[in-house]
Amino acid sequence: MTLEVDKLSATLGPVRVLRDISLKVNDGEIVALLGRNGAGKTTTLRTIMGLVPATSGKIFLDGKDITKLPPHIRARTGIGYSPEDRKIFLQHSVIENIRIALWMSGQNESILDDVFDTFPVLREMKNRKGMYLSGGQQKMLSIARAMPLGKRLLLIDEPLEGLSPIMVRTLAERIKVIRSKRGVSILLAEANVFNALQVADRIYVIERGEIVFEGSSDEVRADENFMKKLMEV
Amino acid sequence: MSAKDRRGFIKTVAAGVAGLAIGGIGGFLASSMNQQPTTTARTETRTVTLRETITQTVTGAASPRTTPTTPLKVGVINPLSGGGAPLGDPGAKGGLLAVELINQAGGILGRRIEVVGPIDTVGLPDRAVDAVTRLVQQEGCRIIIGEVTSAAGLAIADAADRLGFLWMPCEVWTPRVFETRRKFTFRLSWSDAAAGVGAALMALRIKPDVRTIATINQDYAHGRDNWESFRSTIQALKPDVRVVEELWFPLYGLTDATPFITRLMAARPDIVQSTIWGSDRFVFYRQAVPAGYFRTVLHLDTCLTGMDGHNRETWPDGLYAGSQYNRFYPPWDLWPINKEFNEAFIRRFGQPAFAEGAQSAANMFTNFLALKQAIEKAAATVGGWPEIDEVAQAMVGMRVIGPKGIITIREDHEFEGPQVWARTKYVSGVPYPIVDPNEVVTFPAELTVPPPGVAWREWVRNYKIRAIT
Amino acid sequence: MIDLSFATYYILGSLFFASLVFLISAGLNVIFGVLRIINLAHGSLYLLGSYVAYSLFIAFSSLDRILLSVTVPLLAGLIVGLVGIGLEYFMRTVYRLPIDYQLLFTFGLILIFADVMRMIWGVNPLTFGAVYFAYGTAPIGNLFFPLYNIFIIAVTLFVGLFLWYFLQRTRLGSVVRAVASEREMSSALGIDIKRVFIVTFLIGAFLGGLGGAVTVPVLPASPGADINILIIAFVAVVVGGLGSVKGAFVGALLLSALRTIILIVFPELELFSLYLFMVAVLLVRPYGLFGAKE
Repeated sequence: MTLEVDKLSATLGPVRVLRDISLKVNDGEIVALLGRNGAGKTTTLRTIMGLVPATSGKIFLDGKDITKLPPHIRARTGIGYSPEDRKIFLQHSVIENIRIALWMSGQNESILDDVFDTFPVLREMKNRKGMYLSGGQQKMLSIARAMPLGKRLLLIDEPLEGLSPIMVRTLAERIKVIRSKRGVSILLAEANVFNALQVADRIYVIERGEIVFEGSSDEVRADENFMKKLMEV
Repeated sequence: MSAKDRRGFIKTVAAGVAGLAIGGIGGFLASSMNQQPTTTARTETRTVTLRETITQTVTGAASPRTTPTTPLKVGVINPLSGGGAPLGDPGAKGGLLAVELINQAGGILGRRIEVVGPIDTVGLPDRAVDAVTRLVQQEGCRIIIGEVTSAAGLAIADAADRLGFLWMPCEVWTPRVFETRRKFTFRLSWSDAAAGVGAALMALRIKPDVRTIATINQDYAHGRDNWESFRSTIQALKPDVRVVEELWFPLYGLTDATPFITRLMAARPDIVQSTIWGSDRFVFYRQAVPAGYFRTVLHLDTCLTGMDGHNRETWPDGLYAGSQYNRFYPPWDLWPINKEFNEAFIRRFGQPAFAEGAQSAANMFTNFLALKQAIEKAAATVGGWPEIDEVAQAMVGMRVIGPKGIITIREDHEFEGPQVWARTKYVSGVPYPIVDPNEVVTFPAELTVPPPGVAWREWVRNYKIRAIT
Repeated sequence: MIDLSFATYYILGSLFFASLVFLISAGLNVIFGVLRIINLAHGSLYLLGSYVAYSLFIAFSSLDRILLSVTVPLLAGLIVGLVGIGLEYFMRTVYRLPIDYQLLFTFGLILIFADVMRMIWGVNPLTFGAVYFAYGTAPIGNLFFPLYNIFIIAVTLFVGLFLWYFLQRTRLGSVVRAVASEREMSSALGIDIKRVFIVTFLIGAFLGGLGGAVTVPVLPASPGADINILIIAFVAVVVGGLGSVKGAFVGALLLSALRTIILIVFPELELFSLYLFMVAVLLVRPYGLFGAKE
């Protein structure tokens, strides 16, 4: 098991955003955390990354307790993170963006080929500054940048949001490729059930900071009523 | 006139000193006390001090008052940080030295002085007013001594009359202090008005055919008033003198002086008057020396507050400068009390009142001597420990002998003393510049200080060289 | 009225002043860029650099003056850089506090620094002119331009190049810029923010100390110099844009050119014109010429 989250709670200011969340990501599995805006998806990923402190509960990576580790140590332990708002280094070029993660992961340059093979469009514009990329390109760069550090686990926040259907299919394909080629586990946050089903093996549904459903993608697809309910999200 | 005047001055000084048994500053203090008519109603025994060598007799006064047994609290203020600190810090030390010596000699009429402070004013009006208000209202001080900058000084003079405390500044040269009649302010330091007149006289002496003048100064009361007095005086004496350049920069604000230096050199004035002090002077002279400024321009420094600490790099050879007293040493024999004072300062603080601050130290020291003398004089008159306004009355007309020479406090509370102007030079064996003994000029007070009750601006504008009686 | 030699003199003088401004403001800007803290104590680091350099100059005064002019500032900068690391340790208490606390804290540091420096070096202006004079002067018409001023211009260009190379061409520089633009994301990418902060303070304090050390042969170390320098640096930084080294560079040049012109026309307005320029720039571009919107 790559990731195990056990009864995790977190607060933002006075508001309790996460209430005893438990979830698991098995080795090589793609798991989607499904929920509407404000349900707690982003906070879950940020708490796993260490950007939001956990008020209670535990987080295990490969069985090792990482709950108290600062974010940069967690990252170096093998977690790659791509936030919802991309957080590209706008003044850095595409390749500089990726290199920073590369240096921190302690790997050699060969992984760059891997990254650029996954996102060929980035190779073409590798010397372009982050600020001159389109939104979709920035999203790709954000994921690409997470790859060097994400040796064990990738946390991707709403990768498919706001993309055209073709782009959704392409990017979903890419995410699966990353998983198969690099053998990492992936936890992604999604608001759209169809997008989630494009990539995920398993789905958790989160509402008001609590996990209310857990099941395989096939189970969700099979249950039409449940699908309808989720679509209202 | 120079050589004759100088001899005259030294003779006067020598006459004053002749009556004193000089044996260290303590000896000076003790002997100066011997001259005092002494009246106290105290009978208690005291610890053995130098002062016990003096026989105290109680003269029968109409209503004898008792001397308080508590120490006399005196507030000491000065800029101790910021750009005023090079003067304020040695100034405060000069004051502390005076208090220690006076206390060692038995205090004032047997009453010890207790210094409250020194409190840092940073040379700023608001900080200074805060400090004096606290000293008066919380510490109960009725006497406050110190402050360097004219900006803060004007505010303190107002506060002194409002809050009712006796105030004697450390420097504060602006004549504006006494444009209003002051009850409690006494300045034992020359004013910019007097300094400017002296500078004009010196300018005419070193360049009798002067036709063009220029200035560079810090842009505040001191710089402005000093220049105005200089310019008005020289133009009153030689109406065809033209101003070809006026340059002003903010106090402590000089960094790159090269544009100023260039402008002054381009204007080709016969004489440049300047009264820059503190770190600004170091900046200006440092950059002016290699630029060749002093080789092409006759520069007159009207703010000689001290020279040790300077060297050829910050003080050019042959610079003409003026001071409110003859503090120059070596040669030491010009005014022995100054020598003793400086030696006492070095003994007490481990180093001389360096560079910019030597005069401030002497001023503060003199302030305390004057205070002691005024209290003793007032006590003799009123028959016991005097009230603060009685001390103020006693100040008027008093002659004070100290490191600055013999000075007189006038009815308008200004100080009256001769000015010393000179060419400075380097001699072997002394790292800092000294005064060229062959080129010392003293201007008596009658020539340089506007008479009491006369508006200084009018006086300098209509300046005439008067016959000296 | 102004002939060619005066014009040359003014231009060189303008570059000299621009150099002073840049040397002082660069470190302030680097620290703000990465830590988002306006380090009011930067002027104190500058003055400390001046004092340390003075002591070093005195201690090694028997050595060659030209050699000293290069080595002493580097050494003084390093010493002040180490002090900066210590400072960073205390700064950590205010990183997460609102800006007014940060300003109060760094203002308090100014007072502490001033007192400590007064205890060690006293209150008299201290300067080491031998270095200034060792460089000699270059005749321009019938004027003499001090060559040490040219040396300061050269040092500034070198510092500018060094900063550019460090930030744009080195791994650590890239990391520092990453933290400056996205602090939280940087930590999620494995960057140890605390260490970057330490490095930043080392560099910022080094630059401040170097600036003070290089200028002490011209500008004496003296109480109050910390605040005066801070004001000028602050104006340059605000004009150029907070956090932008390029901005500090251009800001310094513009400011200095303006100052020179004002000094030729209305010398009384020297500092006033600088403030006026700052206000004008802020009205047109609230983030400074090169500053990025938050």
